[in-house]
Amino acid sequence: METLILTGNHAVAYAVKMARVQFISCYPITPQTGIVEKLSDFILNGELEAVFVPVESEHSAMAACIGASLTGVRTFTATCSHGLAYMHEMVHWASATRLPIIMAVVNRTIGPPWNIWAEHGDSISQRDTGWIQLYTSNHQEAFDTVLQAYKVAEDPDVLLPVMVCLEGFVLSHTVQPVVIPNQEDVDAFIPHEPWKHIIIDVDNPITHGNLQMPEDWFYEFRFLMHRAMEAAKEKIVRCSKDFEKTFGRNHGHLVEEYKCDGADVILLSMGSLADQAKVAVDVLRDEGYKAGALKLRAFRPFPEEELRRVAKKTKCILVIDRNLSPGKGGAVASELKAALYGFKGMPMVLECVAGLGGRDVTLEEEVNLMKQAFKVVEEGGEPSGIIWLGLK
Amino acid sequence: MNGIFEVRWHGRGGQGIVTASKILAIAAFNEGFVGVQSIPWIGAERRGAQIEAYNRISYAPILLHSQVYAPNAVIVVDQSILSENSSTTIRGLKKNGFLVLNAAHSNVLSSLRVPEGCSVYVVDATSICLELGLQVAGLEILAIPMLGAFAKATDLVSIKSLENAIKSFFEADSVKKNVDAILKAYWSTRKVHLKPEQYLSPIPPSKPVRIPEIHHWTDLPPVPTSTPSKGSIGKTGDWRTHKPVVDREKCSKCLFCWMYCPEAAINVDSDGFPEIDYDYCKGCGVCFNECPREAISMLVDEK
Amino acid sequence: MSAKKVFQEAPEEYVLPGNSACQGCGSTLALRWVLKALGKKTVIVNPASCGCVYVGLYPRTAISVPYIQVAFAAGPAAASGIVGGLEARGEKDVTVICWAGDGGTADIGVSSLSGSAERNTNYIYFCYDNEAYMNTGTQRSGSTPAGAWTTTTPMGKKEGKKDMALIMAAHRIPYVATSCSSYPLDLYDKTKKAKIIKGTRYIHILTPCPPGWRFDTELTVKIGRLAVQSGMWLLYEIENGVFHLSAPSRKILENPEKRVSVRDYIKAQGRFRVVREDEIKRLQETIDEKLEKVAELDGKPLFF
Repeated sequence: METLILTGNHAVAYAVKMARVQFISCYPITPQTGIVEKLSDFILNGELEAVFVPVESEHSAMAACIGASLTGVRTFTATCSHGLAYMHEMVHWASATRLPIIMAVVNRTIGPPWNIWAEHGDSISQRDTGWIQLYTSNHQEAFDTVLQAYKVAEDPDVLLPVMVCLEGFVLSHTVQPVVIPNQEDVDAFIPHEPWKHIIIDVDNPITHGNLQMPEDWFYEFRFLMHRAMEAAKEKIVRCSKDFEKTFGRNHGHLVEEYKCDGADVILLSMGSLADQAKVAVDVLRDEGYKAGALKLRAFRPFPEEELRRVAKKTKCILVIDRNLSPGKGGAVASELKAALYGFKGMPMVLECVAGLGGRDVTLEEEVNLMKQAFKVVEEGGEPSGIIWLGLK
Repeated sequence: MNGIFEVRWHGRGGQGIVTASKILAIAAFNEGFVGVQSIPWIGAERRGAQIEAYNRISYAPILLHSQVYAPNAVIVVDQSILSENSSTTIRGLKKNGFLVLNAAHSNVLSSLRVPEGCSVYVVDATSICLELGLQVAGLEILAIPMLGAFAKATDLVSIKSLENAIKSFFEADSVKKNVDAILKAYWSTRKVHLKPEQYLSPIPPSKPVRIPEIHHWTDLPPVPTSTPSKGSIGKTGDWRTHKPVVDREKCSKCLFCWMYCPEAAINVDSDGFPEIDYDYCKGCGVCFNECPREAISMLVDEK
Repeated sequence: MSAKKVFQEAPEEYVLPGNSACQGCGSTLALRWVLKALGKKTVIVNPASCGCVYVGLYPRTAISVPYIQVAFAAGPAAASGIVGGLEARGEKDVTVICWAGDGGTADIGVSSLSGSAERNTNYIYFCYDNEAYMNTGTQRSGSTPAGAWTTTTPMGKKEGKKDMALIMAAHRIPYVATSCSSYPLDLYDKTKKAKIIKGTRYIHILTPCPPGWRFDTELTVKIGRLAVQSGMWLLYEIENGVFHLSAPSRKILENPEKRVSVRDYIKAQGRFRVVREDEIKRLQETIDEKLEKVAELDGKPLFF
């Protein structure tokens, strides 16, 4: 065990190496490129024994991962933004083929105008593809989540691919200390039992993808994907607990609560803003506000039950979304409200869209935003549309 | 007519039933029916395979968008379909409905079973197509004359409406041939009276069950995979209208027929003669065309 | 080699009867012979095309080697992944092939195909070319020849056919060949040759299509033969950059009396019904010129 000072990208690359990934296919895109560059180094210097296929597009990167994963090998790719959008068709293909592929998404805006900075909209727009989506708040969590992702994805009750999301530049290009565990512990945590999920086998020939008529079983296969997502909720929690037992770290399971007990306003967010929200809560608590923070780790499967459990404790949940669906608002707020609706004792939900195009979100802004929410609660007010943080 | 009149077409890919069902919808609209629908059945089967198409006709706008299960009329444009699966063909056909058939042989008619009160009409659509040269890529467009037979049988659409529909549908140079086919069919369609014992209770409408070995989602693996077997789409021998027959006297055992068979439906027996697998031979005729000794003939497949 | 000899050598069928291909399908005929040459240890990647349909419906398939269907543009990349996965597994004696139509090859899949060839991915790419999007009902592709009717070129295609085999040869891959489903033994031999070469190998097969080309099903083999005998379709190999005409095409060069006119080929198909006589004449001249040039190229390196 050692502690290295790493960029978020390199933290992901170290985790991929320690997961003994056997096949990597990637296409360069800022700000993801650092991951594949580091992996190429690992392969060159013999630290990682993997087949590396530098393809000509993200569409092909996912197609290649699908091909490799069908042979049963552990597979990885990384992308973001336009690359992820270009890959979209194959993103569907991977999950409907039930392949445990892991993809790091280094969240970035989608243009135009060109903008390479952080936003969650790229992965949020892949919401309905049948991928598990885990959002990370810091470098250590990004590293740890990659390892957890393989364990969850390869579980026979799950067999779904996982996106491990970290914000571009905010996490990808900054450095922080990352504890690198012993390889034996990682091997024990995600043993690679070779070729468990083999679909391609010349001695047992099958065809995959055959047409199904409306009266056949297509509908049921989609139902099975939904069931696998439901099963993944419990598996993510169990995996996270096992991880803590082995490595002593816990980033929350599906959601992470911070001082939510007795809080009148809880700030719900994903990614780096969720880390920062804890600081905001401390500031507010010092000033006498009953504030709490809630980090959403899993956006898919969406942890409705967990969110309701926490929601019951408070008067108001304030959501910061680093993404925007024009004509509706932020995705987390929308989904949270849908999850709470119709249940007894649910709090008010206030929604805020912030940090689009990489616009920095400061601690002070988060603190003031929460104070706004406290004011609404005290005055017995109602939500009045999206709060646009720092709109000029 | 009260409510909605529903029609089911049975034919083979390439015989024009989807086109004919569209023409029927246009003609019915011309006739004054406000609600008309033509529904193609979209399947995996190709040229030669059995397919279906549907119509709905009503004096009121039609709001139903599901498939047709209990038709008032069934039109069978290829008689071999009826002889193969008469229970499938008349499934769901309502009491007092119409069955409109292309040139059924008397032996087909004698073994026919229909729901009580049904009227059976027959026309020789094949001869009409051959006579008028109504063919595309070697297949008779049997569904066109069947429109005339349908008009005669049901009296729902007039010849005039059908003619106008044809004019709006086809380019000018092929209108006459199609209209002539409809006219000829209209005037030569005749009603057939079956024996009392041939009328039975209707066969209830059913949704097709294609994969009997799977009953419930719990039977499914996470990843849908298919295993190799002959007949991955069924016994494709029933696509055939003509069957290749090998004359062993003329055969030199060169195996060109085996080599060129796109279906791999020709085996080689222990004496080295080609042996056609009639369960699966689709009757394309490539072997007949490629045999250097002219030892293969294509005969009408009576089945 | 004769049909009889091949029967003894490769009696096994890997394309099983009772599939959902159209009557007289040129593509299944070609696939039959490709798989006879490659044998059991073969993995097929099939991007969207007729091949996704003619194998049959879930849960059965007509193909008795692994057959992986993928999205339209994804064939060569998925094959690259399978090659990489098998390499990681240490499986060395499996042949990976991509079986794609002309739209998947010349249009939507060309980027992925070019990328795989540039990486010299160890697989064989087969394009079965029925010269239009037949699975969607005959729309023009980059591989549709000039003059051909399709549903999106109702007056005949104005532009010519994209020459995929030469484009692939320009990638300097070790083996490029053309063939035709009407010449199963030519296809069989070329596939066997390709099997033992390492790197990207490309075989482009003309596969006549009765419903799309508008001819009687029994003529599938004959129409393909006319394509070759008229010089409309050339059979050749480019091995390590050296161009070799194959026997059926060399025959019509060496024996002009064995050549059939372009007119005979055009008139045998309904899809060319909009082609005028003067256009046929011009096409004949183009083909005559092409054959002269090809005769000079035979046996020579194609590129500098």
